[in-house]
Amino acid sequence: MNIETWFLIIYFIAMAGIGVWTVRIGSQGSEGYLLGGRSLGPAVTALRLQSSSMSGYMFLGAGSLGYTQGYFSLWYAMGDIGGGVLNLSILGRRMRKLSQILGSLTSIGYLEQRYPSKWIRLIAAPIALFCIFFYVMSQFIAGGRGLEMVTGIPYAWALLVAVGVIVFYTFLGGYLAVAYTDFVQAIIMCVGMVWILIGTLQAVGGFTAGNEAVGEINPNLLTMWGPGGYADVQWGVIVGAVLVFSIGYMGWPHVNVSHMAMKKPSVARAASLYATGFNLLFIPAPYIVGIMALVILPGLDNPELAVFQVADAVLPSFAVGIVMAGIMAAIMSTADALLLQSGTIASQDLFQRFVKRDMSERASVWVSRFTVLILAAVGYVVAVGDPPAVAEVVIFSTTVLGAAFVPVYVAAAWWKKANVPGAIASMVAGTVSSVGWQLSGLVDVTGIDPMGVGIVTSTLAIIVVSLATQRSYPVPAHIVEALEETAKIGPIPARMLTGQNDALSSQVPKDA
Amino acid sequence: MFGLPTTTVVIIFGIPALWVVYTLVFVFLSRRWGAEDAAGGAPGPLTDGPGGPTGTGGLGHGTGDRS
Repeated sequence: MNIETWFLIIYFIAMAGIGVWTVRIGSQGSEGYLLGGRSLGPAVTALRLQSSSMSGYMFLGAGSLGYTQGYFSLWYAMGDIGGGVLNLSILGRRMRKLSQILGSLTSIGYLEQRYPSKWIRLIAAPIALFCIFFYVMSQFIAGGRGLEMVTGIPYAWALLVAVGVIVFYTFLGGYLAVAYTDFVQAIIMCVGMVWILIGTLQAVGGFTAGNEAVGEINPNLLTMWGPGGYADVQWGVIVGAVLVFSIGYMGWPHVNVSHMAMKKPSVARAASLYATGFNLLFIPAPYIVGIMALVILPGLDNPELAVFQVADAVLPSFAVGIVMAGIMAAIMSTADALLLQSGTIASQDLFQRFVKRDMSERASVWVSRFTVLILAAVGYVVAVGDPPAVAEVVIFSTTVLGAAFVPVYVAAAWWKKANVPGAIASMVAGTVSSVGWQLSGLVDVTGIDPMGVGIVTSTLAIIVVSLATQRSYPVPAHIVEALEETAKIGPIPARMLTGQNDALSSQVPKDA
Repeated sequence: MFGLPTTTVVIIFGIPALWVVYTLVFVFLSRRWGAEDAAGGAPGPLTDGPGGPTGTGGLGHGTGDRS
């Protein structure tokens, strides 16, 4: 057994250990399992939010983009670096406070409670479940490929091990296990990626020498306009690239649940410092490694493996083990969050909301656990059968999530006039426009990214429809009161807290 | 600089610098958010004393600090 495999075994045992350690909190009812008892501080909140956003894409897709597009690929990083602070500053405090006033336990349930209609959940849950399921599948594939490469075991078995470890700790500890493993994984992946970057720059003779060598291959790779140069620049793609990972974060239910799990609304403030610091260190690195791989490993058959193969080529074997653990950490930290979120949507937002509402807390937790298990099994079967390109799947899923949900989440916390018809119109318009734009081939014809189209469409929809239907569908008075309280800086009045005011807390509409 | 065109250098260092400035401005503007920290205890009556809100009407389900 090689040293890389030993590192991975230690890493897997550590993650499983966190699952066992958190099982007690995870078993304390739905709030314990789904939100970790709303007890997380700034460091865990920030790194959990970032690591669950930075997926296997960062090691596969980002390296591939760097290898094929040169510095043009860094447009994705430019938006990504600010994604965390943007999300925390715009949504963090308000979503934490409003979700507590409304008694929300899931990020999709929060939408229904803010826009009181069962149609909100009936539309939001399937869209989110569909996108998140494909997203989690892509992470399974990335994990399987990574493990296969390090250990040499066949892909199907490597996939089974990777999925098995994720399912084990998510099943046991729920959100708290996911948050703590994500926190540890964020540190591991940052150390691993910075290590690869340093080794890469040493191998090419430094940053300047590496760039000069890349310039000899194609000088346009050093520009921000793509391999074809300024004449072929696609401004629509650039705008979309920046939007996908900056504003787009605010539409991802599995990321936004981080706000609801914060110990206090003010945690968002300190968390922003951790998020930006982590992003500056971590995000540009895989793109630069991908670019420099053109010099170290010219003519790669599969550019998605650029970061893996560069690490293998430039680092000593013991360091490769840590780096590989970092790569697996990036993949697993996103996969666990997605898996828990998809399990939550299927069990809480659909099954318990529409099929069996009178369930005990203990039964509710077990339903969530078994849903996680079933979705993981289905994801494994799909992933092992016909794995598609990881980068394409991730970008498409996140694009649709962003287009469908960014305006409804932002307006939920900031705009008192945002009502049910506006939210429904926004989610439908965002989904249809972004999917339609992608499938119809308009991306290639116009050069405009579907994310940009989807966000503009869904934003216009919520504004126009909400304003047009204010009289026929006014925002309920208790929601307006909750929003006014959310806007204030100060403790939530006791009368507005969960369980103390039927009009303002846990008010899932029974007949809406 | 660094063997890169000037535009590339300006973009890849300038935009992250803008995000750092955004973060610092956000941290400065949100310096009073600590007033909400009193909400960390068990549910209870809110009292608006002369020193600002001191109510304990906060999390009904808090289980402690896990930072």
